Amino acid sequence: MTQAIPLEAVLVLAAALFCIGLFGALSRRNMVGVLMGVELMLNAVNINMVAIGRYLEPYPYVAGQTFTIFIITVAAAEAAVGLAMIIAIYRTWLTSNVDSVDSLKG
Amino acid sequence: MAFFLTYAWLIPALPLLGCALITFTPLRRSKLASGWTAIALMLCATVLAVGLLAATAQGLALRDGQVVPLAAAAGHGEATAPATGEGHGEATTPATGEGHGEAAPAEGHGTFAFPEPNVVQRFAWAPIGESVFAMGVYIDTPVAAMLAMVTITATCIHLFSLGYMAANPRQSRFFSFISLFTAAMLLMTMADNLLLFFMAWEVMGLCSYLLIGFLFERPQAYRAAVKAFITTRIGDVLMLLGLVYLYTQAGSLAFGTGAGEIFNPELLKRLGSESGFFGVSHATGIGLLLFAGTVGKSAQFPLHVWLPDAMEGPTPVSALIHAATMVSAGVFLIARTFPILQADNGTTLAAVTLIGAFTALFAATIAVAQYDIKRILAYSTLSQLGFMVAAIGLGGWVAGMFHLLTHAFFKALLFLGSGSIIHGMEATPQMKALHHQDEYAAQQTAQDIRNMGGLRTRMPWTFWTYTLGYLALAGIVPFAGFWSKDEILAHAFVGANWVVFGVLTLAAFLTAFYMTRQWRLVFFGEFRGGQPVVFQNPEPAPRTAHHSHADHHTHHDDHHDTHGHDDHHSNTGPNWQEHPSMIAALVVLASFAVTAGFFNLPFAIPGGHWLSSLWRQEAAPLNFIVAGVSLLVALGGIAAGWSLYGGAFAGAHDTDPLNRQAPALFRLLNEKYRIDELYAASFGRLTAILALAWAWMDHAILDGVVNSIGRLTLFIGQLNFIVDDTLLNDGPDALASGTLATGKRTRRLQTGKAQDYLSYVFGGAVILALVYLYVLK
Amino acid sequence: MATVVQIVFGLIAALIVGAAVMVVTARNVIHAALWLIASFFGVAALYMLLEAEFIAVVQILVYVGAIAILILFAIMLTRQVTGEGVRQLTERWWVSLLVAVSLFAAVLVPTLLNHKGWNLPALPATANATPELLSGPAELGRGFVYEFLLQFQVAGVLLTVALIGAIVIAFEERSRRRRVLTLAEEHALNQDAARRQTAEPGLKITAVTDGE
Repeated sequence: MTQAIPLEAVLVLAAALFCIGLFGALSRRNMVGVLMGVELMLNAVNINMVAIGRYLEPYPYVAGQTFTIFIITVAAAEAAVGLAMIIAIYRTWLTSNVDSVDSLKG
Repeated sequence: MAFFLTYAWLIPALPLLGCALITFTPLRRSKLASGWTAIALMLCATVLAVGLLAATAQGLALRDGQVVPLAAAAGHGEATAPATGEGHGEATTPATGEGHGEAAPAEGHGTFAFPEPNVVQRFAWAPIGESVFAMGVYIDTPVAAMLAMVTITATCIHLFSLGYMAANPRQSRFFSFISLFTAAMLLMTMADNLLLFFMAWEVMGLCSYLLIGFLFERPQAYRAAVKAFITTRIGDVLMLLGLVYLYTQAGSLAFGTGAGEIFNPELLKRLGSESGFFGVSHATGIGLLLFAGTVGKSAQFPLHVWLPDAMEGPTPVSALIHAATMVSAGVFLIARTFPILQADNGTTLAAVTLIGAFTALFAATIAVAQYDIKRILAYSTLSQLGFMVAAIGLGGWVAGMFHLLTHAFFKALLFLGSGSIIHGMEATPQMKALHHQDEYAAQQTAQDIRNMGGLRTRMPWTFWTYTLGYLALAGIVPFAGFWSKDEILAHAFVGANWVVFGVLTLAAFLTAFYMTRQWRLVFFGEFRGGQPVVFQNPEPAPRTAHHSHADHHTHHDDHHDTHGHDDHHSNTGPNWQEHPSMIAALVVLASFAVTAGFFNLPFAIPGGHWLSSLWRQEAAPLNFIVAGVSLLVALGGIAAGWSLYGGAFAGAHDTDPLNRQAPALFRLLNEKYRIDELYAASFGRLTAILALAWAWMDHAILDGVVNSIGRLTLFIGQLNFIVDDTLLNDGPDALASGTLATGKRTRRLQTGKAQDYLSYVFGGAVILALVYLYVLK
Repeated sequence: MATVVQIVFGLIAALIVGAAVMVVTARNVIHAALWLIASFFGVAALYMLLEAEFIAVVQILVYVGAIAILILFAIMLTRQVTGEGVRQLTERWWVSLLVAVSLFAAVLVPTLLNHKGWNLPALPATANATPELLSGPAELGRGFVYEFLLQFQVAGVLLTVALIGAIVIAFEERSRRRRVLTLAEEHALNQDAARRQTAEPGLKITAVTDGE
């Protein structure tokens, strides 16, 4: 498999996924949409980890996959907290749009 | 014994703890709890102080954490015989040998050896340049004696306050204040350097201010507090100058005779010989400046005016601060810095003697013509402080300190006795009726000795203890005052200071006289409170402050009044109670008033000259001529007083016999030589005139100058404006509006939306990465 | 064989990217969430292709089974079901687009393609040589309990904290909790609001509307 697909191809795919996720996180109005963008970015990172682990790590080392698991864990935690925040914000502001929440405005 | 020496620092710490406990914990909500806390801690401190005194009396000292006998100092100053000057000093005490060698010819006697310390504990406090300013405790035998005196008196006064202040809603605060005061006094006593001494001294000044103004609803009280604070401040500023002066000369403020300490003989010799400002020697300058502190704190003429006014404070305060302890701090100061005072061949000491003797007589004459029981005692205090100051000025170091100790006991006793009397007087129906109209007038009326009389049977405990204090103050053998006063007179006599001797003897006569007058009027004859001389309050207190209080009592007291009108003369009812805690305090103090004199009996018997030997000073033998004169004078004063006032004052409104015979003089004395008015007319008016002159200067000259400068500036400004507006403005205007526009535009970046901020972050990261990738490569 | 793998990879990549684009552009949030699930599946397939089976399973379990479902629940709870005809992107979405595209095209891709020397391990010369050894779940488990024990524990703590934090954040006091209206009540309320708006045209209703 490693002969068939160069490492660069996978990494470019991950980069594309990351940038799409970034665009989503930056431009979706809905908070859940933002969260989904962030999940896509995390997935891109995971792809990088697994790919680099697969291509570059010799046999007994599992750092890539291990850190993928950690990132999945963090992503799950982030999703739980983020969604809880969305619900709390929704209760307070009666909206789930990010651009309506601008109490930081100067 | 090692415990008492090692933990001597606990003595001031305990009352301080009491203050903190009462102030910062819920203890303050309960009057009794706070009172007993303060008393219990004071008792512990008393035990420690007495133990310390016992330890030092055994000649024990603490060196490097080990208790050793004070062997080094044992060789000199033993109270065997009057020292013979040089040989004694040279042989064993190089510390004072030199200074003494020069001072002795002027005085003829007065060898003074600064006592060896028993405990010195110091810690580095503040680094200054290459050296470190150390703070700590420095305990020698006089300090130990002072500590014992202060703790015992303060404990009695705490105890007395428990009963006396029970009706005051702020009793807890009172205990907090007097605990703080006691802590400061104890700290001052055992301070190891003049700076710490001065700090504690100032804390006492603060406490004095707080306590004089304790009944701050009364304008008289807070005014007296301010007056006391400012008057003593004059002395304190001069004293601080003296400290600075001393520090510039000595490079240290630490007590002790070692190198780098202020009583170092070489240093003292240099201070005495080199001349500083105005051609006087350093020692004179420093000594007089330090003595100014004493004049302020011990209320010597001309800064005496605050002390009688300080009687506006509650009576235990008068007893604690303005009789027993704080005012004697001034005397303690000159006793402590005595080597400096005597380093200049007696110039300073002459001034000290002069002021002291003058104050002794001056205050005694005023006391003769006062009616207020507390004011009489206040002027008596002034007079006695004058005795002490004069004694130290005469070189009678032991005599001055001895009188300080004995006086503290019997004056505290007298003040507390007067407090008990006032407490009783205020409970009479007449005073209570007056209380409704004007609380302050009621209190002043209750303090008027013309309104008293016949209290002998009504307040027996007070009567007997007061009598003991009275005899001690009058100087009757064998009470405390006799021995100490006699020693002072003996110093004047032996030193052939005939003027001083005469003045002090006259003051002693007057003391016996006015005390007899007071004692006679208060305790004998008929009770005259039925138709009292009502104090005319020139400025009735605002009713708002005490309105709720008065309303609270109205119903109850009306009930009393109906009774009071029915039977004016049956005042022997429950009014004349003597609170148990007050009696206890009185009895303890009375026992000391009787026995304190025995600590330094001028006989060569076992136990004689005890204080002198304890302090390792030479002892003055009993001079029978002086003792006889002094006793005669005292008896004469008593006899004069008794005969003059025997039949006087059948009613409260009678004229004073002295007033009848010499009305002008009496009036002058009664108005205290009009010193207050003099000050108001001289310094006060001078200040006012100066202020007016300055105001005129300000308006006419300074304002003119300032205004014309202003006009000129305006003119230049207008010129400038024309040039500016036509020529220079465009650039800055463009810059300003550009900045404004940029700000407006940039402001829109600050949208408050998290997404926008995130896109700035990523945008920034992209730009940085592009720069890295394409520009830097 | 290599060609098949390449074709599969192309399909997976298309699925991932296409689904991701749909996620960020879909007008309906629910649709976006569903596209997200598709994208997650694509990533799982990619993991399979990369011979990381365990991660692929975890991906499906956690992302599809938990996170996506959680997101769907959140959408329901915040009543964002409707959304057709409503703008889903912010006003300055083109800025974000610029940032994302420039990040991809100008930064990431050139960096990746210009990078030389990936330090790849030596590969067997021919396709039918002995297959190389690969790390599997057994090595992964060993790594967790030996090499990455600390990280493992930290991750556990993080999960616990996140759990508690989510509860705390989302917790609503009973007294502040809004009553769920019945349909009849809601209808009455809407009627009332409409009447008031006609009466006072200046009054804006600050109700829960998704639009402008």
